[in-house]
Amino acid sequence: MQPEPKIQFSIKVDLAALAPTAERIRYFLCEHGVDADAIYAIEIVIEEIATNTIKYGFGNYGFVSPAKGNITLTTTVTEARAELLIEDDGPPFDPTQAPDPIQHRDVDEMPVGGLGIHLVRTLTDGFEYKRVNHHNQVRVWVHRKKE
Amino acid sequence: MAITRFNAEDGLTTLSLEGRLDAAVILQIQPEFIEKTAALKKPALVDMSQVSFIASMCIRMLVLAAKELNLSGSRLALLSPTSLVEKALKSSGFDRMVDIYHDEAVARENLLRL
Repeated sequence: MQPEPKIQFSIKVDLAALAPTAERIRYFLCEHGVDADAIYAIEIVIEEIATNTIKYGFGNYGFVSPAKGNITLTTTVTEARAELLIEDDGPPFDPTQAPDPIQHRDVDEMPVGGLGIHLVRTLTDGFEYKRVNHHNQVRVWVHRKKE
Repeated sequence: MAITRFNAEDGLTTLSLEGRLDAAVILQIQPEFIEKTAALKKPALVDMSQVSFIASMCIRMLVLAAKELNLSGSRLALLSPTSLVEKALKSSGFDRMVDIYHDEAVARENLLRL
């Protein structure tokens, strides 16, 4: 039995590192036949979860310079789904517990922030958090052919 | 350059956004975007057809501009996002507050009528 295709990156806690990493993961998923919707969802997760980790987990609110710490992104493709595991060595931070933005009726009531986790919840098929050996582990998955 | 084709004539501001609009890019372009949309206090049409990716920070920037324009009695609208970008916008509920058009003539007519 062939092992499942997998790719792993370890990056510094730095916004500038996200785009090139996301690009390499996008190529990996594309090479393994994952459809565009699922790839886009995984890209959203990389952006939103890692940005939250940098901002809240490591307290780099202004994103002014790379903070100490590392983020590891492991992407796996199975027959049924694309899966992303994001691990960091920052303080405990569970994004699955973040409140959803309030329901809004017009532009004046729309919240300016808080949309990132909402996007992750909406665009993925699974979203889990664990604290393991002083590391945050966020696991998401997306079915390869979204309905 | 993420902001291109800026034009503020004829009572309507038009500009295009391009490329991958992630948090790192939005941190750089947001002041210029607000200056070229909300600060002008007239209807603004933002062409999204060349945008390949948006993060929540981009939606946040668009909401900020839309709110500012609303306060001055104007509106912000988007033109021709790709299907993936439009899906992200709709997932955030953005389309319930800000109009998304795929026909520029219709967008111009509606924005100038309001």
